[in-house]
Amino acid sequence: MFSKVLVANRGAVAARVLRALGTMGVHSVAVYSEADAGAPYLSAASETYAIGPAPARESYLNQDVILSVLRQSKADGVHPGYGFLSENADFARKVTSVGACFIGPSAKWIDAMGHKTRAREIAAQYGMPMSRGSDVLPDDNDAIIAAARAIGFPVLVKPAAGGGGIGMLPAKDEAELLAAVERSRSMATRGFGNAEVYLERLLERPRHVEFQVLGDAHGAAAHLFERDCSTQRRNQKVIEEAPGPGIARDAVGEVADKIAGIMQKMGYDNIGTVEMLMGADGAFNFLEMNTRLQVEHGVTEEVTGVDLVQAQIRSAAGDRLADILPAKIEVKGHAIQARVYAEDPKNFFPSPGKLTVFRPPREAGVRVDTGFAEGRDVTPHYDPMIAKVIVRGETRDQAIEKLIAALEAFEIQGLKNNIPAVLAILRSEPFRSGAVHTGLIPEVLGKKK
Amino acid sequence: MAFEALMKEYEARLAKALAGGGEEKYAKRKAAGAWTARERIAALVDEGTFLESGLFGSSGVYPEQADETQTDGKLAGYGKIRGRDVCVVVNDFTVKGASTSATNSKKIGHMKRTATEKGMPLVLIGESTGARLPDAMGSRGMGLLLGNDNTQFRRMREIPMCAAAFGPSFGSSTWLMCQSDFAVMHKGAVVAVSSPRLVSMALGEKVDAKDLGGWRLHAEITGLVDQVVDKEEEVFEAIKGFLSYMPSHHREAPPDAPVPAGSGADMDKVLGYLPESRTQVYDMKRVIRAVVDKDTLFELKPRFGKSAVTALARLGGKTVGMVANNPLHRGGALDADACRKIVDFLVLCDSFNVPIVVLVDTPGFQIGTEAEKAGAPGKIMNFMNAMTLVTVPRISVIIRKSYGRAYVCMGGGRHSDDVAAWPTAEVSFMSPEFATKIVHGVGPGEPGFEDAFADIRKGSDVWGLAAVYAAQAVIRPEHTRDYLIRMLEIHQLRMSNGVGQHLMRTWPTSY
Repeated sequence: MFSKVLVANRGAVAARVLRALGTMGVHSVAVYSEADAGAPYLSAASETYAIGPAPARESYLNQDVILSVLRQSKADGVHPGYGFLSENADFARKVTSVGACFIGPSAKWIDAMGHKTRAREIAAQYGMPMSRGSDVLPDDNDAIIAAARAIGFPVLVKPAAGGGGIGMLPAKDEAELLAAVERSRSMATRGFGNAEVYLERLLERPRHVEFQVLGDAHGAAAHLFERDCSTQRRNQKVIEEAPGPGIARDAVGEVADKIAGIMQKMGYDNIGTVEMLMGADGAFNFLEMNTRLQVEHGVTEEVTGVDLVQAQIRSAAGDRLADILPAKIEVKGHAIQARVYAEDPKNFFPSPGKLTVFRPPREAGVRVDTGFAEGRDVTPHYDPMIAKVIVRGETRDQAIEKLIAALEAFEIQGLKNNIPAVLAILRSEPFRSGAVHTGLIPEVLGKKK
Repeated sequence: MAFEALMKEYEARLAKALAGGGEEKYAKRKAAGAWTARERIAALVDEGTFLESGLFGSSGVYPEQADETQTDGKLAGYGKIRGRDVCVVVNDFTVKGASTSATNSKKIGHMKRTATEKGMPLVLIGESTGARLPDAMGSRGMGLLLGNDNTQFRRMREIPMCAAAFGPSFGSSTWLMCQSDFAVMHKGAVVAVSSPRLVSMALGEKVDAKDLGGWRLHAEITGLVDQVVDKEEEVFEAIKGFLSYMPSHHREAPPDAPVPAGSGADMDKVLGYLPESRTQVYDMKRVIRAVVDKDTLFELKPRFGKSAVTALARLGGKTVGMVANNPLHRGGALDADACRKIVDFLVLCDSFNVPIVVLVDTPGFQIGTEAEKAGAPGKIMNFMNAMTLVTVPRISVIIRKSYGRAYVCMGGGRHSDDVAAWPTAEVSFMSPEFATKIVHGVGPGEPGFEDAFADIRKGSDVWGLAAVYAAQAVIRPEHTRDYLIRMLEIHQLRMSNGVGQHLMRTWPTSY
């Protein structure tokens, strides 16, 4: 096991990792930007280091500063959290070259899965269930049209190096195709410095179902079942739950086993999430793989009883999967997470400000992961998520009721937050009935995507 | 010898004038890979035909600057391009950045007037820093240098005007690009009102030259540039190419050329270029290339308003202007940019007696909030108006779709001298999917849609148009070239020797 782990992140995930390290009795090192000085979770760390100004580029994304803290603190592990440097293969390599362990998969997996079409290629090679998609599109109109005809309309144009839904454009027919490709290319160039785009079959009212996997350094891999994260706005998740509502358990089990088998064959060696789109026909289609801890890992923890962060750290430290995970992983009950954002509940624009009142619900069985406390500022420098509220119930209905009660009890003043919008979704008929899909929020809230 | 001293002085002055901004500056350009002004002239006009005007000019504001203002920075003169007379002005950036001042303004003015009065194309090769300072500073400078020639920026389209931009092309070089009938840009040139430096000073915003006036901006967004090329020599090839389709002035017909061997050879394949399904797209340029004389397609603004194609070409050796929808982009739906591009081209063709051929395959004008924000209704009416003002022969051929107002704009009814249609044509007020919903109240996927849709489509086939004589002919696709050649012969302007009325000669050069 590590003697000291540097947590190269902030907010809720830094708090979560520090908590795990404390439980495991591992010394911890926290870093903070000027905007996060005095953040409540820093007190849980054994040591803290200031790493520069508020803009992420100058602090949490500044590899040189973080590596110098690593050297200075003599930590032997680095937990990258999610976001920031968590999927930066270059950073992972640098951590290794300093002689510490990057708590995540090997850099080669970060590289391979970071490029969307390469990830698809690899996944396809190993037999991952997959919808029709194209290679990176050439600069030839005829070839682009031919690729789209082979897939069938409607198609989705996607940047190969992208993420967060940026530059993803639908084309419902051939007439829209080239304009969509052109616009996507230009958005991709601006957003990611890479003009490569590819096509995927656009599924109508698809569900986002993802599978939690964990591998070890000894060639073993396992799954911890699925999460449904269909309830999204602008391709950003808002409500996540486990298990996925209304999906036949044997079908899920079959896909999950298949994925675990593929991960094992590939030699995937740490935590990861395989994201799938589930079509109206019930078929699963590989979307992409995230090579890190996921924001919504909590719901999996609640239904499986496995502490994923500890498991991730132990796997990185060289423990065997057989020792880390229980012999049989079972899903018990139903867990739901709501992400609470500092944003306007009507138009979803970020709404930074001071948390003059910030009182998370304290009911038993309600878990709140946050990096904030009353009196703290939510700055415009980072993701506007201020808390994750996670509940578990014996049934989905029970969990929904519990989450509604928890969110109603959550007192926030000083800035706008999305709780009213989340409550409206939780109370809506389509959500209650489990008929979730990625277009649900605009449908329920009556807004365009 | 009596005049030996004078002749010696002549030689000395000649050498000095020809040396322009001096050897050092020329060497620097050469190292950077840029041609000199005189190399550009040599590339532009036929060998040995350049007759210079104003070689001994120099600063008209500061006589003491005579040495450093040889030629005053802009070379002017007469020459021949492929045997035809032209007037040219080529900026010499080594002399005060080819900035505009008193003497060189007179040179440009004289070239423009001479070209206009005597009926020769005018070619302007730009590369300039803008107005010369301090010459134009102060009220005295302004009064002396600006606005004293009200023909300077008057555009009546009596003669074809071509402009090119190299390097920094601020001020006059940019104005002339905007006013030309044909503007070609060398990649790397910057066409903008003022330099990035001035913009930074004035607005405090740091701008990149590319964003301010790079080729992508003008080729794809402003549409101010007709062609963009990679190499210096291609700029001159482009200008010569353009002029080969043009008459020397607006009172004559464009020149004829021999018909290249192999022209029309692909006509029997042309129907095969259309996809089987009406919802699939294809590249209209393939059809155009097959129809026109071999290798004569000269496209204008290829990267702008791409759902339309505008190109000069020849048919049976005669210049024609091809206007077409391109289903490859937006299914051929015309947006505001495409309308502007077509109108620009109609104005060019009508002003220089170039007959127009329209190939139609459009579902209509682009609709939606984006289109309205771009001022689509105004652009569509400009298009409509321009189509009514065309006085050169125009023939339209409906290849596939022709819907709504776009049917008229693209030459439907009496907006062409003759209308032909392929048997594949479908014409109606709106696309059959929507019409089925409105007329029969059923949408795609609803019961009864297939029958209702078939009924609506049947009413859109070519035979209705032919029955009421709104199409004067239904032709086999492979006969299109022969039909057009003959039809243009029939509709030629015999009574004015091929010269039209030029009703759009004062149409704005950009708007």
